Amino acid sequence: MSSIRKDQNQNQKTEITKDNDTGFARGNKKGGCAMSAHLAEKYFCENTINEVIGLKELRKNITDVTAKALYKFDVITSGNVRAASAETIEIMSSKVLKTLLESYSFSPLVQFDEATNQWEVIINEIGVTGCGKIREEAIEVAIDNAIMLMENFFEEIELYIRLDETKHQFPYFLRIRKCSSGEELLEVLNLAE
Amino acid sequence: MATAKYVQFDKVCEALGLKYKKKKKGHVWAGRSPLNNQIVSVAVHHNNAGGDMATGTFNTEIKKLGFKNYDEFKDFLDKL
Repeated sequence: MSSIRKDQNQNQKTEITKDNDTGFARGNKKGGCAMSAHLAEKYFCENTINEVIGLKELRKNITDVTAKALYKFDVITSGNVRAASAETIEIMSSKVLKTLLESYSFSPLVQFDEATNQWEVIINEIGVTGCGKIREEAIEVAIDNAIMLMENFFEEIELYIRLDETKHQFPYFLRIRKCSSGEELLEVLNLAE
Repeated sequence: MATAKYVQFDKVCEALGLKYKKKKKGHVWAGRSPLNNQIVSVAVHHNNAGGDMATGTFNTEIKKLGFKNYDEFKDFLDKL
């Protein structure tokens, strides 16, 4: 079901579309929006407040959900809608995830150490270091070390995600994990020439 | 020279009770350091094993472990 409405502030037409055609269950259907009907209308309450699709609905409509995520860049929330405090998952396209992760950038320090007569790389965001006789070796070692620490992070993820001192590293390690080639990893770590 | 060799760093990590994890291109020390009560993880590459740690690298890694400076690290190492 869809309708055309005129936004008073922006003086332009906006199409409001409800997903009745797919029949997704809305987690916030009963009393989810506390605003008055007027305010709700004004601020597009129904469209802006997140809806949770039940797992059964997700299975039933997986093709539509995938299409929404892929082609409309929607981020769909799913979980057990019957349980009030149940954990949920987000379904999004890889492009959207990549865009979100781009804000977690790396600022590596590459320098020559006079005291030990070697090059070193320090990536403070994830606590990675690497040394080598030549610049390229130090970069190569730092990349390998970043991969080793990323592997360790995801091996211990259930602990690390709960702790303040380690959870901030999650998006950085996820960015590394999502790289599909050595060249991409070099770019992501800002270590490409 | 205010730095150490990777073998000495390994010795300190072991003494702090960190867990040794063998990896394809080296090893990782991971766990909670008793010095600062923080979870730490440090990667040591095969290429660097036995060699000197560069000064910036050394300072970065010992601070993760909870040492304030080189002297504190050296005192700890000398007692092992």
